Amino acid sequence: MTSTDAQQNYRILVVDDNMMIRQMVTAQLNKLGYTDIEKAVNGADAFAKLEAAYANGKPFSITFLDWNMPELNGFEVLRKCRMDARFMPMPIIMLSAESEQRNILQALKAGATSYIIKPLTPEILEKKMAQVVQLLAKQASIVPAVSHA
Amino acid sequence: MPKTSDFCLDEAAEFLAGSMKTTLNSMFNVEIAGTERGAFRKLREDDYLCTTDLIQDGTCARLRLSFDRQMMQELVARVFPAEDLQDDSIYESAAREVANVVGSNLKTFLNERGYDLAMGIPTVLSKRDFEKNQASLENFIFMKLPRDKDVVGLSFNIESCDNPLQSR
Repeated sequence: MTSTDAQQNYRILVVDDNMMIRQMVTAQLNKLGYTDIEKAVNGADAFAKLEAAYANGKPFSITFLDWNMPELNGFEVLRKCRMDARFMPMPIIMLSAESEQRNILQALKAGATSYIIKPLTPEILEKKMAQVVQLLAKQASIVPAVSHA
Repeated sequence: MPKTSDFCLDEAAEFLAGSMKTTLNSMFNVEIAGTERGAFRKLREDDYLCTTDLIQDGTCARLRLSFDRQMMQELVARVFPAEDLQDDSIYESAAREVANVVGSNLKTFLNERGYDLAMGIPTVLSKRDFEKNQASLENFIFMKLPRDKDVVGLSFNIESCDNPLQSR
């Protein structure tokens, strides 16, 4: 698949304490044409990378976030992001083995843009990315320029 | 926590076997040919061994998974290019991820039956630690992949959990 300029412009953060999942998601995103991808190994690492990227003027466009992780879990990262004006508009896709309806609803209520129950398949990832890219395009048309200074 | 007798271990075992089949199929595109209960395949030192705890009020539902080393390496090689396979930790990661998905499915299954379990983070263990406090492998369910070897094992016990592995 040839990546478009838009795909190349998206910066994606993949957060999972499991190395195989980080590699798998990155490889599948690469196949879809997304190449600007960083990885974080737990929630604390993720939040540090989100802050650093923002401070450098290159904020992440999309974050994939596991739930069950050491140090700071994904749900805590999600809540922190949604209470922080810098990361509030950023789509966050929860990618978790957590499959209880009450917890999925809790994540969506807390501001998750979308939720994928593991195991991940390439088809589901492609579908979710299409939805999120559509959302980002809509956001961009509403707010043509966002300052990250 | 409800008493062990409040739910049917057989039902949970059947659920676990189904969950394992679905998970391996989704992750590695492999079918499991059959399942069998009982200790007919001894654990080996080089198996990938993993546990995850479902915890409630100091009691654990402990899930133990074993993966034949060669099988795990073949499964991971189905979905990753050769350059990613040099690091042995990718196979342990794969074992932990299967435990994560199957353990989470088990948590959902039990919580729908009146429990309120939280799941710990799956941990890879040595054979010695894996077998600690487990009197026998009688409850182990072994699963066969198409090549007809006993290559995936899982067991599930409710036990006292004074020292849970890692809680959420």
